[in-house]
Amino acid sequence: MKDGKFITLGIETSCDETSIAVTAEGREVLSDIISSQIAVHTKFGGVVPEIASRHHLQNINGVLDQALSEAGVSLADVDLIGVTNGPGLIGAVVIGVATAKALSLAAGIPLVGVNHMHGHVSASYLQYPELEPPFLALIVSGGHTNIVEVTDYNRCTVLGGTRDDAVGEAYDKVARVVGLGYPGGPKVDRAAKDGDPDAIRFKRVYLENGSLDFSFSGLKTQVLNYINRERMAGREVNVADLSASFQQAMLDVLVDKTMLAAEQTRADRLVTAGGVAANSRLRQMLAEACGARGIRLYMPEPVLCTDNGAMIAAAAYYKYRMQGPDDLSLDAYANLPL
Amino acid sequence: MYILGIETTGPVGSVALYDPQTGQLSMKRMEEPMGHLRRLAEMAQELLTENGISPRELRAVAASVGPGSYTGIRIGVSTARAMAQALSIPAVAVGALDQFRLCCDGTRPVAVIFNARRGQVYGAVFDANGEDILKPGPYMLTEVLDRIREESVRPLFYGDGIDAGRELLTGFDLADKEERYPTAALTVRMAAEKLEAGEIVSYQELLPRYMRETEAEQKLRDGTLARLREAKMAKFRSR
Repeated sequence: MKDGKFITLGIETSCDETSIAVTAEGREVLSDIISSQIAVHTKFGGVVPEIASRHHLQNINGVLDQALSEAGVSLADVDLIGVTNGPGLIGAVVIGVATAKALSLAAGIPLVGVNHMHGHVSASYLQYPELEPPFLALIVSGGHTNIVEVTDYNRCTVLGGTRDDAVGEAYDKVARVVGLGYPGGPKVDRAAKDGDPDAIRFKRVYLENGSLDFSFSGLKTQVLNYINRERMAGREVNVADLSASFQQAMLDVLVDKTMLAAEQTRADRLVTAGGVAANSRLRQMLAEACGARGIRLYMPEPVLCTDNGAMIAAAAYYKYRMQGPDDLSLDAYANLPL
Repeated sequence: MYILGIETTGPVGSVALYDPQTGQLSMKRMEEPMGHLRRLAEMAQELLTENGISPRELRAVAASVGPGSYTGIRIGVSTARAMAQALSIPAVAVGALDQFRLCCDGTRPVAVIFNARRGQVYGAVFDANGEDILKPGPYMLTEVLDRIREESVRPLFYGDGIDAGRELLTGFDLADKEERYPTAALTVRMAAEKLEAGEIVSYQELLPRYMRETEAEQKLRDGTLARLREAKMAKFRSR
């Protein structure tokens, strides 16, 4: 406790960000340190799991020191440690979990494992103090594309998901073939700003009538075919137009299906979560669609959408209140269902 | 004052508590292989509780820093780093091969080989007094054996490289199965010597000794990565 407030430490190492945050009373962010490895992985054209694991180990203790000092607390003030224990790159998740368990053992602090995806949803609790479940959520990231009904803190029912590539994955793959490189999402988003979304007509894949599932691998193939056709014809590919058109085709489906889900569940509140929720075009489209339907939209700041320790601390706080602590046998998982 | 030692570089992890003054040593081994992450902190807690020790009574925490399984090394090193950080105590880095110097009893040399696949090992050969004949490093198993023949020594072999390199090792002396693999008992005893000699590090300086760069780094350096990427793009283009 610090000044009568419950202090949570949140640890996140599931991909290429080493992040530790300190929150007070669950929702007040005292510090949120994010050490990104983007520069390390760029020369490999994507995240190399073994290299990510090596860097997490080197970085994590310094990030912890920084998070504590910026928050003005010491480890003795910490009441709870929350750590992502999946899903993610297993070697990367392991570093966070091993560190969290060692801190818990050494300092006698209760520990809870947090599902990374519940962490993403919980990012909104940090930005919107009044927000409480239930609500509808769109979770879009490098590994996930889900429409879920959040029934309670850290609980949800999956309404729809991708049958092949996740949105972020599709961004990465397309960015690679058009030569924009890693990380694909922000690079395509930026390139698309100078392009015409109607320049190239890509087919939108909606699957069966009423389905809330997604399929993006066909869109990726359409993009590849388009590039090949243009190259064969000796024409230069306009990367801005291609980025804008590809992005529009994907986001149209994403937004339409989210609105369909809202209709089906009569939801009047929508929360966005995950790294792709930082995408500027998606934010604009969701704001328009929700505005037209009177749906209240909760869209956390981009820094809270990408992987961070604060969202893990928020999820941990509620999980601990509802279920108590995990024990020191807490394990790490590459796959962990929502 | 106690030292906690962690050894998770091989298939079976262990943790040990040692009091250098009294020589009292207790150790716990994982029953299941590859249960390192799940069991390590729990076993350390059990060990402390059974000995009636609080974490605050630890004077140092030591980890076997490799070489060995990359993930295994990281589980041990991350755990030791965070414990040293939380308790404001020094850390001690113990080489996974180096700790077998303690097996040199003044009468015979020791060879240690850890399986690194495809005929490769992380290996070392120490003389009867624990001095280097072949310094710890990545080698082909045949290189280690050649060196042993050149020196005309007759070492006792340790490490899981024995199990993988069986055909090449006929005629050599092998340590009993119970003694063959690295344990936290070795780690913590070696750590006590280092602590005595002032060879301590801060939690930030306790780092893995992988002894090899990653495959991705190798491929980037030798140009394989660029070739692979080019081939992949060419495949896309020829669709």
